Amino acid sequence: MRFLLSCWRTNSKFRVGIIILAVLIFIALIGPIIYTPLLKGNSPARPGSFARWMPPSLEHPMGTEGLGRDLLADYLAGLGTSLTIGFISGALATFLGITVGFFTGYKGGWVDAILTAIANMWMVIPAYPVLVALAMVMPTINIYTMSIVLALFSWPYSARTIHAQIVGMKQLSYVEMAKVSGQGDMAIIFTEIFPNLIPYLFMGFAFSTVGAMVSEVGLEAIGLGPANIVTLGLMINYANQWTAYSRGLYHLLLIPVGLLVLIFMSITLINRGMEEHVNPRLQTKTEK
Amino acid sequence: MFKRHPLLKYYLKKIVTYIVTIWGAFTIAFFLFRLMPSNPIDAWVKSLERQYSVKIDRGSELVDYYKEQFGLNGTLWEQYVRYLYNTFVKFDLGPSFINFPTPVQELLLARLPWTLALMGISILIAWVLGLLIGAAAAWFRTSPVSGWLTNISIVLSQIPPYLIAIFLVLFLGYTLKLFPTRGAWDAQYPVGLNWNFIQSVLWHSILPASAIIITSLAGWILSTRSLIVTILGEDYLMYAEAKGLSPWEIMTRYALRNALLPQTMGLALTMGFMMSGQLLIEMLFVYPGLGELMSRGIQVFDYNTMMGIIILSIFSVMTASLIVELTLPVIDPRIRKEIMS
Repeated sequence: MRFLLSCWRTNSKFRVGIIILAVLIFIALIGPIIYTPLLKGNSPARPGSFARWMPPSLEHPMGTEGLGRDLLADYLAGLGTSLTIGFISGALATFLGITVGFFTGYKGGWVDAILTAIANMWMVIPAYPVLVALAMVMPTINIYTMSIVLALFSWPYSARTIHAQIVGMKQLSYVEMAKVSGQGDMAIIFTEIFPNLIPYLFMGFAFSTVGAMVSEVGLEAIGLGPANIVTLGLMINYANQWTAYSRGLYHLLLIPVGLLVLIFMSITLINRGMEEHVNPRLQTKTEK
Repeated sequence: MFKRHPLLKYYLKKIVTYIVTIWGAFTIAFFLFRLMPSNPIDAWVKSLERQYSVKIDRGSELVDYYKEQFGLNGTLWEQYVRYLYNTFVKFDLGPSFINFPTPVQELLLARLPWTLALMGISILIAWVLGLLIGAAAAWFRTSPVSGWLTNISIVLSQIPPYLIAIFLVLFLGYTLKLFPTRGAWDAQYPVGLNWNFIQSVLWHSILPASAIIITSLAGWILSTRSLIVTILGEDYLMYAEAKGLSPWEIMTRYALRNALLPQTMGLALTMGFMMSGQLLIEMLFVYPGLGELMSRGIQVFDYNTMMGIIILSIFSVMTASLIVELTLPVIDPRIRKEIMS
């Protein structure tokens, strides 16, 4: 917490990122309050709730789309699910990565060699084909299963970062001191090493969240994802299917892509801000 | 023997890791697909049943014959051993389902040049430009232009290429109608080494290539900049400056030279990942490369084709990183020293 506060105070990129992300999360949170009265008891994903291609009106502030769903509700619900998938999957991947990275980095030896080998094997398998195949055999996948599957493919990256940090930290003199003074492994991990890793944990979390969202949107936008959850990626896919370009309905495409770009941008700015805070040389305004 | 030749030990270790990792990744991918509750024959039988509303006997000779053709007979273990043997000893990836009975390796070979050319050239262009722009951004790091360039790169580097591609298709392809948005060449020209065909191929590659170049360029600018900024802070550069070397000499002989090594390694790894990294771009542009092949294979759950692409990707990533690891001690004396000690 103290780390995040000091980032906030010193780094403008971090501040801008946090503000954009907070606004997006706020919109996603109050989304249901806005769209529930509009939908008259239908779920946002249900096709054919209303007439198709209705122009914007008081009842449907952004009109309806080609499947007769309220557009505003689509975007609000999509923003919510996309963020949820990203955060759950990012948290899971970071948790798995920390556990494996910590364990292997601290213990070393055979366990390290075997787990690192397995992580390397996972990493070289291209995730897209497997994800697409999974989405096909599980036609009614929900956002939690989807997050877990995405996390399964991104944990090796955070494991590797944490592993490298721990191996470096293990040799620092204060860790050696703690060992000599007879502290147990757990005590050393939690009192000596963990506090210094916190920046890297946050960075790993931000990185995995973006990664999960990029994969999810990629699958959905090309039309290979499950169609029963409204996400921003699915909205991009629909915009393509409805030939938004040739009909001049640019907003169908610009809104979901714009929202995604804002999400990616804010998380990247946050991440970069933390990185610059840890390593001030990277800053754009370095004086000689 | 290893005590006296630590370098030999290093090389052996890397080669053994290379073989074991390829085998392990192959095994994980194989079981991931086989354990999914579907297979190409069952999926096909099911779609036939739906289409003609007939009931097909799952145990019939015809079904068995095709299962044998695709290597789906016997226990899972037998299938695994047979597939492993066929892949690594006979270099036979089995017949494809989408284009039966063409073997998968033939399909891959037909698609490979398209992917290699599009991705390879785009990655290379982005790398060279990124190195130059990144170096300039590091040198003028106090100027506002460099600051803005870095900020824009930070934002661009995390936006997935397919989103950029969608924008390019929208504005340059559909609205302004400047560039074609589908396929790799114009069907009116015969395929071959004639000027019209080559021109059409280049013309068609502009949009997909720029989508890749824009995003990866941002990444290279950032990494080059941070490498060179770090080097510029070193004492020996202060000395070089005090000695009276011109900024150009300092840049090319000290800073850029030091940054070149990690960046070349990064380029090799990126090239390794190119088989699987930009599959979506190919799908979006219906480009006749591996990505488009995969999207067709996956729709009918074509194991052999999907595994073929995955194996090719695993192989290229691992080979690229093996080359990096084997050449590192040859070109970098610091690493050689570390291994020797």
